[in-house]
Amino acid sequence: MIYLTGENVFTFNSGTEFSQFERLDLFKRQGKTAKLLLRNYNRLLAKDIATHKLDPTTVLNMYDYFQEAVGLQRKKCPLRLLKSMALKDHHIVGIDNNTSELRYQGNLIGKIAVMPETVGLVGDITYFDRMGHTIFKEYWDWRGFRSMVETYHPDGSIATQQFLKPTGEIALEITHMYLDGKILPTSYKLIAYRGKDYVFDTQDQLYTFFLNEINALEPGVFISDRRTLDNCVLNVINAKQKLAYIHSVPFVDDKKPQKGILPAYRTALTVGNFDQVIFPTKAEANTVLQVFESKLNVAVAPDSWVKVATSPKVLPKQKVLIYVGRIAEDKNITDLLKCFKAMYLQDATLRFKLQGYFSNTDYQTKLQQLVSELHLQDAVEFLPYQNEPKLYQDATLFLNASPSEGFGMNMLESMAHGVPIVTYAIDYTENNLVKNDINGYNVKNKTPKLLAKKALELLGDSENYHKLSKGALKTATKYDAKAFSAAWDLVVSE
Amino acid sequence: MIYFINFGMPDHKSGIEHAELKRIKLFEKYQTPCQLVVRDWNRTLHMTANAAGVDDEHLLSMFDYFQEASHVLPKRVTVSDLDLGLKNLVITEESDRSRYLVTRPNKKLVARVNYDNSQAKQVISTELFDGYNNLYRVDLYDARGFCSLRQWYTPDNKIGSEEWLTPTGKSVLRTFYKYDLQNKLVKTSWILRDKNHEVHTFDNLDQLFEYFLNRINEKGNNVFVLDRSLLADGALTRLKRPAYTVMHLHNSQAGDAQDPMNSIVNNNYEYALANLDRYSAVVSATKRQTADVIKRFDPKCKMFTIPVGIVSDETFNAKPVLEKDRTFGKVIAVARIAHEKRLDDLVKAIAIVKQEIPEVTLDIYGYADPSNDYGEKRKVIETIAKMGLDDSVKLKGYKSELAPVLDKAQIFGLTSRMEGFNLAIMEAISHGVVGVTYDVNYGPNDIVINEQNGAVVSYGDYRALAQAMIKLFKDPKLMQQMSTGAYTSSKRYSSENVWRAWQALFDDAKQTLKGDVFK
Repeated sequence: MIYLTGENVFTFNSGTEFSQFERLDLFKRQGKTAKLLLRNYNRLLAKDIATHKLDPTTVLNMYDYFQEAVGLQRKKCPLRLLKSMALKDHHIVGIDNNTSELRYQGNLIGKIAVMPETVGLVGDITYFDRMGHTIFKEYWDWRGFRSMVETYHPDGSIATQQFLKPTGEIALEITHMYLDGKILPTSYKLIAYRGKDYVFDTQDQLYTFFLNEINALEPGVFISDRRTLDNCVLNVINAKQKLAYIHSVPFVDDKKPQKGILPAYRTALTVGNFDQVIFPTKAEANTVLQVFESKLNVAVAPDSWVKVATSPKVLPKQKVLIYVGRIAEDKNITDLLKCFKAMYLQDATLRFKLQGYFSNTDYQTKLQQLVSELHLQDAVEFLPYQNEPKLYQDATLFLNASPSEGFGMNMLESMAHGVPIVTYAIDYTENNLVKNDINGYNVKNKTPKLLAKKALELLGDSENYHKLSKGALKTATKYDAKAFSAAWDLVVSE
Repeated sequence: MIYFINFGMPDHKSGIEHAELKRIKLFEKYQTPCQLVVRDWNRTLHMTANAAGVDDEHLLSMFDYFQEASHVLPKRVTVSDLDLGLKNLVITEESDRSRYLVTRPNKKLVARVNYDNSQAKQVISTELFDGYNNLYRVDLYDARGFCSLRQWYTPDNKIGSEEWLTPTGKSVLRTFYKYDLQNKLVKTSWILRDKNHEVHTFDNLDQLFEYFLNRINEKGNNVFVLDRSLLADGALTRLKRPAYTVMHLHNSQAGDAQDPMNSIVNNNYEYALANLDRYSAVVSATKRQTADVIKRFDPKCKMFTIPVGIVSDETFNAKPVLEKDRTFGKVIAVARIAHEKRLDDLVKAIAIVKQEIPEVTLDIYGYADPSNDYGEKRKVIETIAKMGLDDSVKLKGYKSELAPVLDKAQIFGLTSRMEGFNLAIMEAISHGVVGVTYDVNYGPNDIVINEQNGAVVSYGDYRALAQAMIKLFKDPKLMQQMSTGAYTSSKRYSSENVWRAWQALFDDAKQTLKGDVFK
């Protein structure tokens, strides 16, 4: 058994989660049994698992486990048919598609929120006192059972959270009290778990207990993907193997690794903690070994794999530039827009499409302002996050201006569609993934103008473009399913 | 079902609880089901009720009902039975404070476990601390050995919410404390997850209790006897389904019982009396009170006089004690030493009697009322001293078994300011003790009848009271005649007679509800 450890499966996931999904799928195809062990409470998990087309039997959430809700079939719970509705006394007043009110003799006593993405199924119910204070809130799991109830301190902050079994008994209680002057979770209590109560001071202690329970049932190889969970994994007793997978660049300063390792990575990169530490690229592994003269036991295996298109692209008339990935400050989207502006001034038929979720609404506003300032409204388009983006098919060129990438999954994905890359030259991508004149260009002088210049050059040379598209496909084959499978096979033996 | 409504059945009982206990025994004797409905949560309810003779079949507590805990086999729970969820705990006993301190190996406090010394250290409550020294919860254990109520604390150490659980650990009822507009932390709400899965919210305990009464009356046709008016005087007028509602007076309806037509209404009964016509019936313990209620309030509902005291068959079966076998001059009083009992008047009367009958003695049986730093007791002792009666008048304290005392006494003296019934004087006449009492409402002036079983003298006239006693002591024949009359007149309070009075009420209930109520 191989255990992948994570915090959550979200509606919007980062590369770490996708990497885990890919491995889950791979291990399954390789005939290895693997499970993703998740720490965070997520009442919509069953829906998210379906969205990401994951095999539900390969995902085990800690709360689900303790709530005895593993493998529970979904049952639709229309809010108006809830047994808790006292229809002889209360009126349920529909306000809109998302909300209904609960009224007793004309007074508002509760609000029912509809389960996201459903029509009329119960999502959560908030109850109020006669002064309008929120007194009590009940949350339903996607699968249609009352999963968590919450109470509040007089100041409005969360006081208690009780996680329920589908039968209604309390499985787990979290108490929120003072911790260094702030109101935070201070006690996690498992109730009658296998007949005994267990108290934990932190969620990670509980997660460690959970990992040990799972490992005791079936010992396995643990892979720690999240630095926040390294200690939990290290505290598993009698695991077959403990591995850490490093998704991002672990250095304080990418350009000067000798300046040191980020605090979050210290546990993972300390010799003797993990049996093996896996890096997505050889270059990154080597830097760690060389710069720190480390005796760390390292291995290399890719983050993910790609399905490679069969035929390369020819330069089209309508040229579409793309960027896919998180739309966030650290991705330096402003430079991308400025770069495109420079290109657009030369060729007004160009279009630029960016796809991904915004890191925050402030940044979104900022970018939209920039688009209008640059008068690019007709040429630039932001597309919402999509699980399997379709825009690669009609894309001509991928632009990237981020200052750092652990691997550059988005660029690999692009190359797998035969779309060449023009990017700022960044460590671990330059000469590893993106190679000049082979599948794209690394622009050493990191200015939008030079990035634009290089991109325009490429778009003006159809012969070279076709060649780079071929090269991109060739590069991508190194990261296809076969290569991915082979690399991980070397690292993890069940 | 016939329900009697009260807040509880504590060890320390008032006349209302005693009346209920006698009534439950009577119903049992006549094989008529009834239940004591209890509103308030109390961890020892079953223990104290059972000790008073109310078994679980006759007890319906609201909290039990929602907590599904009406019938729970008592279980021993001591500190070693608790699961505090941590390993290697250190337990230290603080026997002077009846508790254990439970700590982690690093000395951090995990819990204070409070126990009941009189119940072999059965756990009363646990005060629980998190890993950061916050008291986050107090768990209160029902005396039957399960965690019944959990009080969750706020970060600044006040109760923030309360939660009642089933014995299996399901949370069914909660209350919440919030800041009101004056920034005062107050209990603002209750939320109930009922057995039928419905969720209800309430602003206060009264609303919850009303909901509960409607729940137990869901099929209708029950009889509710309201023994503590303020618990449900509104709720009983608003029941959703048919029921026979009885407002039971246990005290004078008038603030000044001697002025029943004009004095301000007894606060406890004010609301109920203002809504009398929305009840099915009113019960009072004496004919005089029934007549006064009719005179002043002219109710449309039925009026019944049903004594709250019942003389046991055992007492009736005992051989009467003749006057010659009693202690000459022995006067007794059985009363709390409290202002409304006005025992200093009785002492003054004895002083007068003593001038003519030197053998006279007075024994007072009863607790001293602690209010005003035992002011009434001090007043009585002062009066005794002032009258030079230290040898003749004794404060004997409370005694539960009075039959031997009653069988030796000749006269029972009563000088109260106000009475609801007075079980003690009824007990006394059933033992052949002659009653000499003020004309005080309500009870003594019904129980004692002039020239039949004693003497009723003007209210507050202790000289007349003394003269009545002197007359009896000087005339042994009269004394014997009155004593025989006392035995005879107590037949009014035989279970047979009291049951007959209840039956009249049930007949009316059946007629009103058009159906049988004994379910």
